[in-house]
Amino acid sequence: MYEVFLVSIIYWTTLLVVFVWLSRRLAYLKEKIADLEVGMGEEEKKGEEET
Amino acid sequence: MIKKMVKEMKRDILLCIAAAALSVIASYAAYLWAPPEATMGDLYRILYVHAPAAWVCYLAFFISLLASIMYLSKRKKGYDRIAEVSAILGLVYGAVALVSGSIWAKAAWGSYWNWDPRETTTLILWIAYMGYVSIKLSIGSIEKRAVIGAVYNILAFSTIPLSYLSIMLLPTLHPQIATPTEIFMTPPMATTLFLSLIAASLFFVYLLITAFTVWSLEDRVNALIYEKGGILTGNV
Repeated sequence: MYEVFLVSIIYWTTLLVVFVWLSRRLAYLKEKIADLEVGMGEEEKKGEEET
Repeated sequence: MIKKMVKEMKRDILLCIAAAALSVIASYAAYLWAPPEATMGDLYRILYVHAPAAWVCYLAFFISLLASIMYLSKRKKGYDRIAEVSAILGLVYGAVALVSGSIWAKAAWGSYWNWDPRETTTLILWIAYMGYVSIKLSIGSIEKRAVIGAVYNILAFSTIPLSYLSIMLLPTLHPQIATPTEIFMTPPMATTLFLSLIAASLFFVYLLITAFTVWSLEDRVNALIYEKGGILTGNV
């Protein structure tokens, strides 16, 4: 019976690792895009003020 | 734009909850509800993990094939991205299928690896798709990488029927649980297997959508950095 347990652990651990990695990556990228877009918006405002 | 994003987020959350709920039901059925098999006993329960992993592996490579064909005919980057993420996920599920199959083989036949036709052809399939990922990682030009990758992907798919049909065409130790017309299981076992297949497929669809979103957002970040005049590192 331990083989069944071992196989289940391997299956669920693998899927969990993929799931967590993708979720963390998704959150990081969304944050990064928000930061970059805010930065670009500020630069555009500065440019408009200078002209 | 924001409405669309919220709608997509809601869809992803619902899909994830449905996959998780069905996985719990399928696990209950696999470990507690389904009866032990007459000759193999409880060892047979490995099937409810092994078969869905192998099925999703085939499904992922099939989606990857379709996306590659679509890329070659339409030349849209999104199709190439779907082909790539689906193949990578297929490799993950393929690795689980190979490892779980080996554990079963050790318990049932006495050795982890027997060079059985199903084992061997599945390993060939897995190596063929590792080749696809290697191509995607090793060619610098985006256009060239996508075209060569798509052509290779179509050729690599020939290993799927080879793996699937190996137990029907060659003498093998691998048990045959079903043919296209018949299923060699009791109704509770068949129901459990069906539930496990649906749960694994749903979870795979969720992972595929999430991976596709991640790959797309990486491109968006690179584009924003480029617009700001930064240097692209390829790894944001």
